[in-house]
Amino acid sequence: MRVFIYIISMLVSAHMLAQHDAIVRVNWQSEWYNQPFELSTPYKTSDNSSIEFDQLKMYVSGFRLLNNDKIAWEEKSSFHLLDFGDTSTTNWRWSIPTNIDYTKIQFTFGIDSLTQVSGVQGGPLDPTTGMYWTWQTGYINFKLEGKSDQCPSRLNQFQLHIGGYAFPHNTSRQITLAVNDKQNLNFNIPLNKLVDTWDLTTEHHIMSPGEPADTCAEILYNIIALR
Amino acid sequence: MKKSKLFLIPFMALVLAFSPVKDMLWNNPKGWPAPHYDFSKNPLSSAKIELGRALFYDPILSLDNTISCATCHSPYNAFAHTDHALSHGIHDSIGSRNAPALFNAAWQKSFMWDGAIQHLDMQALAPMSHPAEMGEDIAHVVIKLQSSTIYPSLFNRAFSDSVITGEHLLKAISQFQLTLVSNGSKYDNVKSGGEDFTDQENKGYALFLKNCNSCHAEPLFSTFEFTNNGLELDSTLNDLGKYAITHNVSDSMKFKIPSLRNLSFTFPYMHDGRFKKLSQVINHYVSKKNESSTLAEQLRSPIQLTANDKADLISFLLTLDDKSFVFDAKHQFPKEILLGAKE
Repeated sequence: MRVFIYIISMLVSAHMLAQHDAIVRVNWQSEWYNQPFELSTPYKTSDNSSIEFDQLKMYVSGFRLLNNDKIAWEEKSSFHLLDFGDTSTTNWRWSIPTNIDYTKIQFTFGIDSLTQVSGVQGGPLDPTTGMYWTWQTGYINFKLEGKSDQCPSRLNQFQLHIGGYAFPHNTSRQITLAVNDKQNLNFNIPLNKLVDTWDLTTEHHIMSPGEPADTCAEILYNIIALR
Repeated sequence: MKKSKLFLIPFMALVLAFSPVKDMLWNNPKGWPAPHYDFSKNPLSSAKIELGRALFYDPILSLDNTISCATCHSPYNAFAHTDHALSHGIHDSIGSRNAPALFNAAWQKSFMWDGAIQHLDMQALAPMSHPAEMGEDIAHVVIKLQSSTIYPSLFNRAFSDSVITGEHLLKAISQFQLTLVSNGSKYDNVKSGGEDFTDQENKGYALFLKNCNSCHAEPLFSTFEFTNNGLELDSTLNDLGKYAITHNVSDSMKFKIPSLRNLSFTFPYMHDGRFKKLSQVINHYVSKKNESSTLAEQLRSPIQLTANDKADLISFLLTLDDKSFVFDAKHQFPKEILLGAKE
């Protein structure tokens, strides 16, 4: 009997000792008027134009969990290339110590300026992803491509390649959001909120840093939210 | 050796094993500034340098497998595109600029005539992707390399990974380029006390120091900054230089100051190769320039040179030619790698 109790208590304490990490699930989703967003799907805009998306990709990086304004935890090598056509890239898990508390999450939309000029890197930063400008220095922080009947361009295509890391056209920006569910961080990008405030009849191609890219990035910073 | 000192052997072996390899493969020329390139992110190794050399000479980097880096950056010409005002690429496309000579890249902060590229690692991506140069997509280059008979093992030897990535491809090319150091000219020999300038070369050197050194500063013979040296705009090209990248009016007509080393090998001169001869370059500097708000301060009045001065200056400039660099077998086409294996 004593041996039995001894074994049970050893197993329980081993189990308790092993539980020194908590899992945080991170999930990124995009929506079109509150419906899950999908590529190659016909949608309507607020002014009844037809629109369809071929690509939605963006960089998010430098993730930190804050306790009020102090850094409680930071992700190492924190670079993620979100490809909304590939769900393996839009969700992941963190193992964080159970004894830390946090009230906010902070991250960078895009790639920070220092990383932009630090030479070639791998993984999500590898230039083979097609998210690095070949003709000049800089990552494309956000890429949105598709077609819409409101675009007067060839094949009614729009290509918004939002980048720029140097003053005065820096589209990378730190975003801080209050956390409600600590174990499940569900980010949402309501894409219709960008498209309905954007004039695709005139601004259908953005391929370099500048004011149009800055304006688009500004809209994005304000619509990215946590559910 | 005394028994008590034997422990030093493994200690020294450990020290050697952990010494940065870069220090053994990198010889910073005496008296030169420290390199700008951050070697800690891409430490030099023989395997990476040799891989980079193979890639540099291999047209597999281009869309139709006809154009390699060496096509426009020829080793016999100090890695410039001699006798071509504007370089050409796949399908005989003509580009809009003269390919610069590739040497002493380790000391440079930005690349391309307009400074578009801020890091050496990323520079190769530009010609690789340009439709009038190599016309390829790095993702596709990686696929071609992965299915070749020679590259997976070369990458494995260099990076301990036979899975080829864009990152490793560009880092290897950087390493080869970093080893292209030109510091063996007559000028360098004179400076280290090995020989003397002739009287004419001495006179030319004095003129150089008076009129050219502020932009073409020793020992690299460039500050690698951007200036407007008063060239007339070529309306067939409309190349505004750095303005195209920054959209800053104060950068209009500013181009990167090239090094004056190896001029005998790298003609024609300027971003669009408009001057075939050094005498034409010098005549440009002694001529009156158009008034422009961005014209370099030093050039607001023409430089004063007599005919003899010009000859003296040219004789000095020729002392910057470095035959030991141009003929160095370590930089040439790697026959053993690229001709040894047939695809």
